[in-house]
Amino acid sequence: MLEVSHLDAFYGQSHILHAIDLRLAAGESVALLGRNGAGKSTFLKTLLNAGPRGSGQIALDGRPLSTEATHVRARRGLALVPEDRRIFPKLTVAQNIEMGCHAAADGKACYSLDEIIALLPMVGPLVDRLGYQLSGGQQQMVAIARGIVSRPKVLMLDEPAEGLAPVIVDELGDAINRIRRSEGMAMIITEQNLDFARETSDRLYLLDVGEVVFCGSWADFDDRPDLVDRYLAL
Amino acid sequence: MAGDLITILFNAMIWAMATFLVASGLTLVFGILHVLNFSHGGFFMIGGYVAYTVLSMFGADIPLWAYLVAAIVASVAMGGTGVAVDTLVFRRLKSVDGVYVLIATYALLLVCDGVVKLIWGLNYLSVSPPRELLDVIFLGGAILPTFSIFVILSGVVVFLVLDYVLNRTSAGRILQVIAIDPWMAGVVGINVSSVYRWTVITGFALAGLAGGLLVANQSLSPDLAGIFILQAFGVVIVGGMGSVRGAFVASIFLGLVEALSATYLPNYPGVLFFATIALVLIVRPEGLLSRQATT
Repeated sequence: MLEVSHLDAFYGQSHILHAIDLRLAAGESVALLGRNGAGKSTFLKTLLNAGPRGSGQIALDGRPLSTEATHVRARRGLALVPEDRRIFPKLTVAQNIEMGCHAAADGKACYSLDEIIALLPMVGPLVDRLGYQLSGGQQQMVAIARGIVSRPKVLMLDEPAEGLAPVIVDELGDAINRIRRSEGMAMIITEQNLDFARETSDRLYLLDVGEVVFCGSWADFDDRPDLVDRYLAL
Repeated sequence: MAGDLITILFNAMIWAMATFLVASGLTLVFGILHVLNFSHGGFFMIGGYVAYTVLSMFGADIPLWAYLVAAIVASVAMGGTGVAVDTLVFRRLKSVDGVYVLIATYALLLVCDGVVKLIWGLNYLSVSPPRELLDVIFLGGAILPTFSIFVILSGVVVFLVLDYVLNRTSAGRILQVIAIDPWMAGVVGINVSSVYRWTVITGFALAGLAGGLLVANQSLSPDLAGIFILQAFGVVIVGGMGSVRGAFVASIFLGLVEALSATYLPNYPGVLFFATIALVLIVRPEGLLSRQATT
């Protein structure tokens, strides 16, 4: 469904990503692992044309995305939940989620608020709260709700477990898996938490200094313990 | 005594609403695009001249409907000009330092000045108020011209409409979101570039509308832009940059300052006005109502 070929990305003159190839099938979830600065967030932003200057081929359902603006790519079905969540502080949770519906411009029906709450029960009691009144875990749930409300084809989660308490990380993992199972949404999840990434994805890509150094199943990854030492250990 | 008080309050409100009409578009554009548009007064001035040209077909006896139509024509003309200015100037200022924005928009003000001199000349021009608004009302010893009441009501109506749109509609929520985080707005599928364009069009249309509505309030001359832009900037700074509500409150506050100054310090015009702005900047640099998006 999503095909990325020879993707390079630049911030100004800095060459961040080098010839990245990635394939994602419908309903599949892949993890993108790597140290800080490996290029994981840059990759997600480049897919959305939301910051870095990219070159290479990106196709969604066989149609190229390479020249389209961020909002068009969002409407084509790419949703990003950014690392810093970026909840709109002066809007209520319900209004924040409603904002995500702008990505459903091709006649798709958005999830209703009740459907969102069924998928993410933690959002239920929060709907009338303002964005700035939320804790980190609550913000993450609302950001995911805002990301999925337009029924995107690909949900991209940038370090969703970062900075959250273990109990919230467990709830988050359950929520992501619930969305995968019931909605069949494809996902790209960047993470540094190996356990969380393993729990929420089918296979993985490993990035180092802007290059893919490994891609394969978790079983293949486990057969290569050197990868953790070389590319993930601090 | 009561008559003096009413006169002071009435003069304050005339000054306030005339200035708010000009400042509303300025603060709207700043709130969303973060572009401090020095040329705003120039487009207000051209709006006045456009309305003058339309009304010159009616001679001295102008019906109210024609006056309103002229204001709408000026508004549409300036809104259309906003498209050109956005395409040619504002879009190129997105990623440059604020100093270049000031220089570019000041250059635009000079262009406006030149256009007015070229088309309408250097002479002072004037328009009579519409015939339905030539009366006066006597209230507690004060004399209140009905045209001035029309100006006050125009300012209040423009404020109420803007405030409703910005705070009670989905379009207003989109504007708030873009004002706070345009990057995330694009990520959730909002066409930020299009919203920017419509904001500029609306800001310019408000400048044109102000020019049309106020055309009988003062003489038209090429230095009109400078006079009103100073007042409008004062209101925008004191109110809180980018806040329409703040601009409305500040216009009334500074209107009172101006009216008191004109009554009790007539030999020192403007001194109290600028002293008040300086005081607000020292005590509350973010303005009376700091910007909460565009509310």
